[in-house]
Amino acid sequence: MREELLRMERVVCISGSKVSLDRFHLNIYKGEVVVVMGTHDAGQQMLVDLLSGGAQPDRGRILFEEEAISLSNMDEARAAGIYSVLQGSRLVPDLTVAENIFVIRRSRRHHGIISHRVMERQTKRILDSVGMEIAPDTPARHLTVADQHLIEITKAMTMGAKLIINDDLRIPYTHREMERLHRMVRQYVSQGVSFLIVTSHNDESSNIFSIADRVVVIRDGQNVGELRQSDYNPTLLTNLVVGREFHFAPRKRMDAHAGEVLRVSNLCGQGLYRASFSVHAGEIVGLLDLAGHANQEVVDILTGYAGEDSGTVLLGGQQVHFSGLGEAIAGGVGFVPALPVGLQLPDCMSAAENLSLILLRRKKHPPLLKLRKRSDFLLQDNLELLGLPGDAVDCPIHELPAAVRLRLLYLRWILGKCRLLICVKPSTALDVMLRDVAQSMLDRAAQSGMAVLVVSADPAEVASVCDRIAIFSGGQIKCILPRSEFIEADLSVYS
Amino acid sequence: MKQTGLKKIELKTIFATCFILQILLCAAILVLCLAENAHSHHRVTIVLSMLVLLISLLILMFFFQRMLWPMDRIDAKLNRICEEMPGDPFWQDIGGVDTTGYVLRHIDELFERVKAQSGRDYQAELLNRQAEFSALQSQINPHFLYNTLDSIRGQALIDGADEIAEMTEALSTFFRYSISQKGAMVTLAEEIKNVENYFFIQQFRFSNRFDYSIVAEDPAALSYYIPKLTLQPIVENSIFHGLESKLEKGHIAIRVTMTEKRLLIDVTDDGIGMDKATLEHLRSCLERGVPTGRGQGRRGTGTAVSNVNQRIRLFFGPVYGVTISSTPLIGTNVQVVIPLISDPAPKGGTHD
Repeated sequence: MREELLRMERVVCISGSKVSLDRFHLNIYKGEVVVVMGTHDAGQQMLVDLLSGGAQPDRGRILFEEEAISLSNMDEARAAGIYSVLQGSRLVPDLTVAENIFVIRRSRRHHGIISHRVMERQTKRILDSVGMEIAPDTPARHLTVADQHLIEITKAMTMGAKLIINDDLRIPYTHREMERLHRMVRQYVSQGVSFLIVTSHNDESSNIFSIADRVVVIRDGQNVGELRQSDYNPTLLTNLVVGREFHFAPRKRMDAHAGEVLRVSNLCGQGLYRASFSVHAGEIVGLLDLAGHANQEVVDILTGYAGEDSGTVLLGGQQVHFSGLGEAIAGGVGFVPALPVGLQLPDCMSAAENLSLILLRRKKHPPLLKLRKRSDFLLQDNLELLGLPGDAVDCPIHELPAAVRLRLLYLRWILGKCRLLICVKPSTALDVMLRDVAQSMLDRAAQSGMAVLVVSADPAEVASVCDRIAIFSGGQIKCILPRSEFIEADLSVYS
Repeated sequence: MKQTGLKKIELKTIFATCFILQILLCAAILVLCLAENAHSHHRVTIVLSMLVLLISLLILMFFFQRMLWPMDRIDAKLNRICEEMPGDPFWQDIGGVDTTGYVLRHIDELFERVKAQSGRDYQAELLNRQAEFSALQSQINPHFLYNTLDSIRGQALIDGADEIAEMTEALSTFFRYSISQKGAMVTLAEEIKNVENYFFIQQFRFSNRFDYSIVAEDPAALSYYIPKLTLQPIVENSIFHGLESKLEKGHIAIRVTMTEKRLLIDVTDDGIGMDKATLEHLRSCLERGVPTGRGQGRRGTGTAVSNVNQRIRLFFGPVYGVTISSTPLIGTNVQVVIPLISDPAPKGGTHD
């Protein structure tokens, strides 16, 4: 007999003109990890909102421990025992770990006296029990995002959480941090807590059941199916998520690589030692770091966010040093950060303006044509490539389909004719359809003669797009392998 | 509508009376004031006002006594009747919070409950019969059928045709189960045995073009009760709509999950599934409790799932029932949710 912790019955949620959840039902038993998976707009976000008190169901009911609940804010959710640790969750940066765990809570029993000694001893005990080697008096701002999330989860546990909700936490994580998160989830599950993980990242190469007990597939806000370990089959899961038989578009690559575009030699920076590699025109090179952030440091230096300690960067044969992203862009570097759609597509600009942002800012204006006209022309020329229906040209950016926005984001750099395109985790936390889009856009960028640099912590991600992969370990490049060798390489030695 | 009318009359009478009295008072005061020596009439004015107030109060008292208080008593009585009636509370938002509003709401509730109850009893009985009769359809004397099947089996054994014997036995058992007068509730184990029997027969027919698996996470679930012929129609649907036109080998998985209060049974096939429109149609049919009109050519198998859903809802209430999800070319999942019942008698609904 299994105890039901949460049960949603025929829940309907309407946001605007869209039905986010349509007669959705879900049950979570005590002590299990349920993953709700779907494409990025399948309604998982609404699910998180519902359970953390951010939204109310329009119909249907939610039962928690067999009692109907209605959560109107986060405090009510917490009082019931539902905690959410989401991508954006952070600790208070200027407080220590111990203070974050014990002081920042809305407790009724607060006498105004804080004993730091007791608090730190308690914190130490708690952290030891989950195998985290962090001093309780470390200020939170010194921790990585992953550690902050782990401490948030631990904090939720100390506050008596019964259900912890996570979304795609993996974006800023390294491979090793992901494993730590999984270990912690497993440990808490064995103590009877349940986890609801909401994700759109469906990766055929990594078994979702390494963390999940059950996977519930949601599409257009409706239940589509439920899988367990025993009926797991990556193709089936992908097909369920997408709603039809899904195949990645065939890769279009050219083999011969023209001249060298980027050459980095003996580059040193924070946590980065003597990195040397080169990228040719039309080539996609992956920088993989399973355990650290050395590859991120390379990106920071190339985009002018951080300064190099020593070493040289040659772009198109000339030594460059950028002191800011603007300079880097002017120097011919394109940059697509992780989860870029919200960041790099300003809502206040139309699709045409967004598309022409790079190209037209760079060129000198011909006197007779207005900027606006030119950007409209540019958009009209590329409608088909973007997959944008002609009548949706004037839509606000955020109302366009995600695939279109993603294409726009890459196309802008391709049209802008930059020499080097740097992408950070281009397919992490995207659903398969968007991953397909991202991959084909990377291919297109390479085909157009750009040198493409992909930074990632996920072996499957680099293996799927890159021609050569540089593997970092301990801040150094251990080896650079062509894709065929990389796929067969044993990566465990690098993590 | 009626309720606001009543309220209006009642209030109108009171207010009209008071209003007329007020006017009379004003008039009296005016007349007195206009008189030469207003000062000497001071006392008279006060006395007069007091008098009018007293009369107004008396009228109010009269109305309370004659109308509102009896209404309260009626309301209390109705409330008690409502609570004693079986059925779910009937929620309806009626604007008024005055006594008549309450009374009307209680009358409505009572009416709804009586209506629901009698409808439910009638429909439960009807559907139950229907489930049995659809199995009986041809109205053959069952014992004649069993005996004939048994003789066929005997002859087959004598002739050494083991397959025919096995098949005949399966068929005989299947009919016995479907037509038996055992009552509306059976244990899950019995129902699953019947489904296995049915699979056995169909596998013959489809020459093993599909296989099946039945998993009960907790074997204790098998001893709980479910309405008879709940699973077999769903499996039948999966075979005929999901697997029959599939080219490769198909699979049907039945999974039973038991929680503290509920029994969840999932029937999943990897057949051809259905498109969005069909699925939506099927769902709305389930919701409204009408036959789906699907599979008309094949003695209404579509009706069967709708029937199962309705029977479950009538037995146990609207939060239980059948839900369907499906993806074209990928497969279909049907989930049956019923409460955990360890003793069939009290909730059995209809008695034979």
